Amino acid sequence: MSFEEQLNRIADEAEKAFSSATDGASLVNAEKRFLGRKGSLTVLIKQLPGIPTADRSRLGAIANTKKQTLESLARKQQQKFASTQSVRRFDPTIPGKPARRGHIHPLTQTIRRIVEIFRTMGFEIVEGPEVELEKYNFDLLNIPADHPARDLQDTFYIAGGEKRVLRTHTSPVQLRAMETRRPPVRLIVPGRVYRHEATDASHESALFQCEGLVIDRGIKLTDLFGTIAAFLKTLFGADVHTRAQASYFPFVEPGAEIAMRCLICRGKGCSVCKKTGWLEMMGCGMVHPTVLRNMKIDPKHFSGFAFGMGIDRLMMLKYGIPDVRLSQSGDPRFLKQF
Amino acid sequence: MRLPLSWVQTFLTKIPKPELLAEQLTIAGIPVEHIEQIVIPATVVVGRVLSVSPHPNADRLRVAQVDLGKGRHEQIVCGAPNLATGQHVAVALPGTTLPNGASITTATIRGTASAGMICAEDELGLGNDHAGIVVLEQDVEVGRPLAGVLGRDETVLDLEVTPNRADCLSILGCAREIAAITGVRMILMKHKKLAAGKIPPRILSVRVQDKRACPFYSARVVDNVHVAPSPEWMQARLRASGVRPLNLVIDVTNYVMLELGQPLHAFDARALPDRKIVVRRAHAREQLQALDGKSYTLTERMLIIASSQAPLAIAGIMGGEQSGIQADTTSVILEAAVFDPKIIRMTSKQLGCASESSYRFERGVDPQTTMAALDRAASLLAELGESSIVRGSASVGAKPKRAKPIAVSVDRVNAMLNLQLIPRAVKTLLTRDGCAVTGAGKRLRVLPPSWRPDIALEEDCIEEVGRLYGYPKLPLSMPMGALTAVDLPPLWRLKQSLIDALASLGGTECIQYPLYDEKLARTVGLDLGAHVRVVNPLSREQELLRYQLLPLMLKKSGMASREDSMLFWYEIGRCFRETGEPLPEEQEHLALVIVGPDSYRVLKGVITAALAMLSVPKAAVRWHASETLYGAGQDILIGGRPAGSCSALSQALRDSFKFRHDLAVAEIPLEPIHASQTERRYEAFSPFPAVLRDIAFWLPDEILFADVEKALRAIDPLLAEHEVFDVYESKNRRSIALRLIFQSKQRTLSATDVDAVMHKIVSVMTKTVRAEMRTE
Repeated sequence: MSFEEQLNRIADEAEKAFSSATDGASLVNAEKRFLGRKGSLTVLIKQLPGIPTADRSRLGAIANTKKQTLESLARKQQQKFASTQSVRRFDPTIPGKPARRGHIHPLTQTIRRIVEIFRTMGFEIVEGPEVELEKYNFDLLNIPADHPARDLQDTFYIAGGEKRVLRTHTSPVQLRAMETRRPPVRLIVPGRVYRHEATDASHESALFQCEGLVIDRGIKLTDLFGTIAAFLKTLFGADVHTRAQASYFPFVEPGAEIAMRCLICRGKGCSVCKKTGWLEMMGCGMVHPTVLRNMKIDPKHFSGFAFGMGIDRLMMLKYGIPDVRLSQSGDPRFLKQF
Repeated sequence: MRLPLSWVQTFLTKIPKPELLAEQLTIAGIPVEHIEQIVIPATVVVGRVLSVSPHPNADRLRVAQVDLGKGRHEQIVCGAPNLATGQHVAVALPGTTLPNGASITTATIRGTASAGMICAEDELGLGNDHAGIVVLEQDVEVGRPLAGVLGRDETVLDLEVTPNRADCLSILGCAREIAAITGVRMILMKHKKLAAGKIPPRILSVRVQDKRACPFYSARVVDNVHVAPSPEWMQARLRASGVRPLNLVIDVTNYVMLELGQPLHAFDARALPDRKIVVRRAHAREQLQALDGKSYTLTERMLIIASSQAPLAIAGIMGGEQSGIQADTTSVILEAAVFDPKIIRMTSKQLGCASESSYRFERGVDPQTTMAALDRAASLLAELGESSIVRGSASVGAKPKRAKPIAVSVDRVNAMLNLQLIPRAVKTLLTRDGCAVTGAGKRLRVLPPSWRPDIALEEDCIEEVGRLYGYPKLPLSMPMGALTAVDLPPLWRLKQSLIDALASLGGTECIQYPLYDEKLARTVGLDLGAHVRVVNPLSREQELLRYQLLPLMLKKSGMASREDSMLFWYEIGRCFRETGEPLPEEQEHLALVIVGPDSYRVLKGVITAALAMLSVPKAAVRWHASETLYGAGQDILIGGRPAGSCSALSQALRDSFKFRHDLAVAEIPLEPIHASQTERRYEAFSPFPAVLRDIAFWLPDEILFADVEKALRAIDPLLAEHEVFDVYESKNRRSIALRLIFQSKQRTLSATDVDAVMHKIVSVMTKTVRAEMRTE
């Protein structure tokens, strides 16, 4: 029998044996008989070097192809047996095992975003005391005692000899920060502030605010508007519209309020924006010359802007939280959503 | 400030549509809270009360027979106390839907048929008053629709006037503002000027004792007064402005106050028998029964208007009942004055007594308007009440000083607003505000009008230019300047890393109110004396600033653990402690609460892992068994400094907070953690394999694991680490299973090496901690 005839015969036999194997064991046997180290096909192929050169490469190629075909047939059979043999089918649709995950409070996440955005614009982070002297919270900020401007911020007073209050805004930190800094200054002050007013869905008595202060030569009112617009666009998306309105805070002049087109109704008017289409986002303005002088800064040479925004408000808008009281409720059904 | 548009319109050549005007005012710094439409339904008609009888089944209700004109009579049940026979009233016929949404139908009220409703002011949307029904003038035609009687529909803008803009607390002031913002022209009212001469002292004399408290005081006398209702147009304007009409005299003073911003007061001349007005500080404990029905005890700092015998009014705030206008008043003394805003504010705050008048005086009135307002009121009273004004006035005080001119540089205006305005443009804008602007070139001299004392600095003028130019039209810019690298404050960074670490370990962050009550502090056993105390808390539950985070977390954990039996939550926040320094100490703390099986060990594991993630070297953290406030546990030392504690919650506290589950708590100040944070350094690890062996042993109850550790530490350097992998408690002993890890940095350990050490371990443990090896 020629080499080629032998090859074909062995291949046919092997194919029959593989195909007719009824279980894993008979398949393994058949594999061993034909493809094993002493298997008939292996032995035959070992004879190739003795074949005359003229036919060797052709026959070598055929033998190789036959071998590969048989090997792949054996693998296919093996898989068939494996899947019919195992008791249960693998179910890839079974849900993953719950990994223990933590939750970061939405206020923290909002503060982190604010900090992140202002840091790209070169602002540093400063903190200050929550129990504050009246001097810092009011007097040095150009809010004299016996002035109706004090009514703008209902105040908690602290017992003891000193005139102390729970800070009503983060603005006193402007003055504290400037005790150790000289212009140029760019800083923000995130922190807790307190307002002596009844809480409801949109008012919190212990709320979070973020102050901002920039002092340098030639700072303009429009630098303030530009900075806030850039901030709000980064936080809420490029299609955010902002608008500056005149306003009054004793520690700034000119004073302003930045409004943002309502994110809920896109300016058409809804209950969130009280039908105006605009949301008041923050009070701001150019640092009042009296306040600059209280910081020992000469208003002839330097100017600056300041702003103060409610973080709770930003959080509510960012996550669609309808009631500010949820935030500090400690309710796990709230906390576990973030 | 409620601004009825039909009223302000009388001062302007034209007026924008309400929505547009509201937006323009808001942008210019006078925010419009809301726009209110007053539309009286056509089915509200004038009725005449023919008779009033008691309701057979209800004490508070009465039954009125009402003539509705054109021969129609109806029976209507009414609860108003001021209902009386003969009154002309507003009747909502069945089928009416009132502005407040109420539908009126023919109904049976407590068994009595009622066809319609006699309306109060608020029900008609005319104002806020619900004290009684609206009583109309006697001459209005019965059966006429009320809308026809009161004139056309009204739109009211509710303005939020900031404290600097007292000028906008009047119709005239708002008209000026609208003119300035929109460029619309004003119509100047020409009022009759009254004779300026002095009134004879026997008719009236005024003495001001404190000229600083009262820089100007003037009074006029109006005789032949008949106290009757004011005309319907005046009542309508008052109602739309939120002021309740009373009678002609009072209404005129209120009307002129609303119109011109100058509060006025009217005294019954009978209260001044010798016709001598004294403006003086009150005597200590002097009493005054005021028009609000309350009796006030005054102090020596308060300013009053008095006769030679008794106090007549709290200056600028409220009149006294004694000197008030009565039904039979015939002679009236009208007062217009300027008071020191600080005194008015202080008095109003101390007495807890505020009024439309005090609100305006506190913010400052325009001294140039005072006399004009007095004359206007006297003229109106004379004209509408057919009364006669006594010639001359009793006035004390100098003419108010004009404001000083302000130097304004056009360059500075442009620099600040990012504009390139020519001087004339700046001048035009400031002139629209009522300023007199002089000066040449780029240096202007600006003289603000008497009603804008808030314009005093160059910056104020810059704001005015920007505001009237329009803030939204200013081109945006970004601050220029060199940027430098700025790192986060170290504690801030620590706090954020800690939040990340705890979140990765499965913790839920919470943020809570920083205030609690004494009871809570006492339950836990905290030092009340070191707590920071709020003088005016919103409620008793919020009188103390938190000294620690745990008390409130425990309070909330009760609720939370009912929702979720396995809970791991934490808070990072400030705690406050009085130290005798001017300001209390404020420290950031971390508090952890873990509820569930084996909570104490889980908690220690979390703390250990979190500290490791924050690069606090293991060696820097020490634990000492201790009885903490919260139960048996351990005090923590970090870098040798006290760093709070970690405890299994005591049974007593578990009972007070009603916990059913096992619970462990820890509170750790952040500062010691920060002080011990070190840069992480790579350490070469052993290239040789580790060998693991497990052992289990019984331990008598009095032996702590710390004793076991101490014994293990001394045995052999080849014992690199040990881990507890099981604890089983039986009656009076514990079984502990340890995984021992052996490793050498020099060589691969053989079984013989490890066996030798194991042998030593067993023998030491048996001896020193009376461990009984378990072999099963």
